[in-house]
Amino acid sequence: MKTFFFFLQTAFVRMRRGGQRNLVALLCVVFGVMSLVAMTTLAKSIEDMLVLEPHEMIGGDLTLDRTDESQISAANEAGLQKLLSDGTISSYTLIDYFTSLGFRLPDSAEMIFPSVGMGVDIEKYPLAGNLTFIDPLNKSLDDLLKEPNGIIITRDLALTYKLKVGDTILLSDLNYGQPLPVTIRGIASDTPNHQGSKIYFSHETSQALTGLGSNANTVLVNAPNPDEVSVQLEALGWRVFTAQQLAEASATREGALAMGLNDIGLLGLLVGGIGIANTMQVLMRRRRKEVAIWKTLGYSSGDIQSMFVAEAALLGLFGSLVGAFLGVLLSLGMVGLFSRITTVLVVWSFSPIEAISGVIVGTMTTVIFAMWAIVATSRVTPQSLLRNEEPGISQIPAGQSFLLGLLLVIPFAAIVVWVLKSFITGLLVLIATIICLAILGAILWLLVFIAEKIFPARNWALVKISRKGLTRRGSSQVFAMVALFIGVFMLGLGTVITESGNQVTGMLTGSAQTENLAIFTSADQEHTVLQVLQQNQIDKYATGHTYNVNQIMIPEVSDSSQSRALFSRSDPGTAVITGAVWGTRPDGAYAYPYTGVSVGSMLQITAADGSLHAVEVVGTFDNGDQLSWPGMNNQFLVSEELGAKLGKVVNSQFYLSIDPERLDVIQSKLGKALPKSTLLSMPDYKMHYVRQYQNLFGFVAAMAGLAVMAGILLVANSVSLAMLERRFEIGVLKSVGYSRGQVIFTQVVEYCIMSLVTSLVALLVIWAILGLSGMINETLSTLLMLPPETAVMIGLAAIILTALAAGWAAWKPCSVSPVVILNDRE
Amino acid sequence: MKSENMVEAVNVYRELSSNGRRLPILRGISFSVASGEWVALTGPSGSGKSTLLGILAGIDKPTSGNIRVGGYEISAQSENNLARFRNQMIGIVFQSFNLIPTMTALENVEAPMYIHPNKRNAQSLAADMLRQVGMGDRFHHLPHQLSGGEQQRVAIARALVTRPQLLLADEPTGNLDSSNSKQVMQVIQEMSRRMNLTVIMVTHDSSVASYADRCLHIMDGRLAEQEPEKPPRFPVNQVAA
Repeated sequence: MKTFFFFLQTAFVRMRRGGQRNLVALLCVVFGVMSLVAMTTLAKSIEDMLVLEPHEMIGGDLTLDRTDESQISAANEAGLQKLLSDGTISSYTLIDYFTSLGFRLPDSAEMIFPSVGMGVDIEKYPLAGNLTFIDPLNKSLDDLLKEPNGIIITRDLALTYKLKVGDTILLSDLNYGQPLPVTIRGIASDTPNHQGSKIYFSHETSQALTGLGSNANTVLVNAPNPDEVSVQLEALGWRVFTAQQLAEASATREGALAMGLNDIGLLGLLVGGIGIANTMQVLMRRRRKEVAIWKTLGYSSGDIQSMFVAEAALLGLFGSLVGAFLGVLLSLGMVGLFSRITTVLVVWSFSPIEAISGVIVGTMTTVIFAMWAIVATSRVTPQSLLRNEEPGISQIPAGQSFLLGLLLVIPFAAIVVWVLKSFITGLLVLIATIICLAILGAILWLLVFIAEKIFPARNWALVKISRKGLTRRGSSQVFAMVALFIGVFMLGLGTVITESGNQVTGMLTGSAQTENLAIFTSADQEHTVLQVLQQNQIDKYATGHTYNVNQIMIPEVSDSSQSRALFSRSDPGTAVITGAVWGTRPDGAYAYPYTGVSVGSMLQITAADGSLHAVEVVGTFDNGDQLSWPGMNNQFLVSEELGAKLGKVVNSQFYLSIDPERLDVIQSKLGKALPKSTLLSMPDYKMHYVRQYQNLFGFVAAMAGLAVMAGILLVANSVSLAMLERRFEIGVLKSVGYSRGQVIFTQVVEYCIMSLVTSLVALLVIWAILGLSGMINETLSTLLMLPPETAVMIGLAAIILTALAAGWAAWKPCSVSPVVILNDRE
Repeated sequence: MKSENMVEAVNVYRELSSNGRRLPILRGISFSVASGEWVALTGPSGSGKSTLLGILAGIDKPTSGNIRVGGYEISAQSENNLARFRNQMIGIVFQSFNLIPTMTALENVEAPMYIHPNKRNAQSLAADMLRQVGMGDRFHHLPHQLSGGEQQRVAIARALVTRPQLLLADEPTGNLDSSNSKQVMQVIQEMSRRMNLTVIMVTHDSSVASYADRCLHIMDGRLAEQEPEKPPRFPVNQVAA
């Protein structure tokens, strides 16, 4: 026991006195554990969203809508009532499900678009699962929505748009146009399926929103035997989704995401471990003489291994504690970011198990990655002390090397399996990662070797020295290159996502020729809108309508009926028309290209008055690279006269082209003049998408930042270790007249060449991936791009960071007097 | 008091292999050292002195031949057995001190005790030994804070803290000036007398060799014996405090 405490004590003392070398090793541990704990905590937060009981996820056992109708009729409900009374189903509740809501604050022109609005029976909803509130506490849905025109919003909306209980907003269904003042009565902390960006209101409020009698289009059902009941319901014309099906889809999606995050955490741990192995390799080499001394005092190889394992474990423990703490903090930020790029209401929770596991894993990983160097160094032969020579080591026999390697891989594999919670997956991930890293490392080293041969040095001695240094460093440089490659690659990928986002959303303000302001209103408000436009001397606009017919069938495509909406416009606006020229076939329809309906197909339309019409598809319409107005991705575009002939107006629209300089003013003026209409500017609408991309980029940038940090850390590590190895060389250089600055310069140039090669490869790989994606999907070729100037900026940033890291790491070692070094040959 | 032999070497050979060639370092050396005797190993550079010392210390193995130290046959022992032997039966002092740079003087001297059977009293024994070599006021100094002579005294204390039977010294004054050399030799002399140590010391310096009872001269891996010049003996109370 005393021996054990002595080992710990010496380990602690050595750690304290180890200086920069131990700091580098410590940073590697901190980074590795921080990545692991942050990602596993985030993954666990996501996995916690996967409810064990599927019916709690949708609020019932089944969710139904009508196969052939968009609304649920009284007859349909009567059918459900019958099933209830005969015990086939145990309960049901109607839902008014909206996907085209927008709202704004009364004094703001900006429109905000929640993902979903739900009109519910406030006494029954949800049939299962929880709708919980953070403000006010301890209230039920019934309590909060009893008063008319009250709404509940989810906490992500409250947080993002700074909304609170008591605020009044103007809510519109863009299909019906007329805004409704509503008051926020509560903020939901969680919903049955953990999705946010939702607004809840009563059926009465829902009817006030649309002006229609009933908006029910979905039913939640509880049933004793959901699978049997679903068959019966389908026979009655219902489209049925079981909770089990939806839960499995969600579990697959979110499970894959959680696993991806765990993989990233493990990669961070692996990078940290590689840094530790690097550091320990040269630290132990530096301490061969010390080991030889211990041996002369009677310490066996086993004693020495125990001593250094204690030191590695202590280093791992301290580093892991710091890393776990930072990882917990990082996970808090990442959960927040993640919630913003998806609508999932991820709840961050501090998980002591994840943090403690991270500390244990980090400590074990440090010991595992340090073991090879420790075992190798414990084989020091101390005879050299008698000759004042550098101690040599007897090589580990090949068989023992293999066994040692295996013994080290097995515990790390166990760690991977434990984190990923799957034996097969864990092994496959580990093997695939090691193979990929090995191949990548070999390729990078080969390219650096070639670069060393061809890099122009002219008569610059310092550059020649840098070039020579490039190929000497071996394994330590390869690891730094791999980590840097991953960092640059992820940064480049994040940039591609942002660039595509910018492209999709386009400019924030349109040109005068582009429609940039839309007015959505009910049919009975059309006249008022026209008057207001006239009063404001606005004569440049197009009109549009949404018509509902009874049924649209396309026998060539499907036996099911299509959406009942027809969309009409006075002119195609920014839509790109193919087929018949607009205006030449007012009796025909244009299909949205993704419907699968080909030109020449016949639509069988049952008009609102019950008459049957055959309408030919005479062309297609698409939005090109413009963002379409809400509702414009309905399936069929027709002329105003055909729409009026076939359908019943549900919504009228006016599309204006306003000078972008005056857009805000005009929007505000018209908004005041048309309180019963909803005004929507294209910049506001685009901002909705831009925000999503911005948040996504923020998330990817955070991940890329971690990877770049890893790369820089390993570069600093590699330089520090190179300084240790080249100590004598530096002493000689300085003794023959090289200055500190010149010696540091050689290091910086060496690592800048390495960084240049690595960054170039990473960027080329990104371009290759983009090229391949473009070949597979033409849309991707226009969407995903990495402009050359952006690539140059990324490469330059990587090189500058590398130069700074190399300079910093080389500064102190190069400051040592050559006399000290040359008299201290080790 | 000289009694039975502490060291017995019989026909010790040591060869090294280099690029397929065999290089003889020691060629059939046989000698004995009585318990309590002080023997100096002299000879030109490359004669095999350090190699012989290494074999005696158990950190090198002879190619053939037998070596017994304190009655213990060391020529064919396992590494673990040799490690125990080094810890309990011998102490080694080196030319370049070889203190562990990140440990204080006291910690350096304690180091061999933590794997010694008497580890319970490690700190007190180490402190006592440091006082005996005149380093009682330097317990918490790191090696770089000590002079060469002081470092060597710490090294001597470390070598003797386990109460070995045999002290091996490899050019103990090789890196010291004459004043410090004298002090260090006096310390070794005094300690060997107090502890009835057997001392085998490698040296090039005739004044240092004169401290020995006899010299073994090694030339080209072979042994020749000669009497040393006797130095003046210093009274006990003039050992450096």
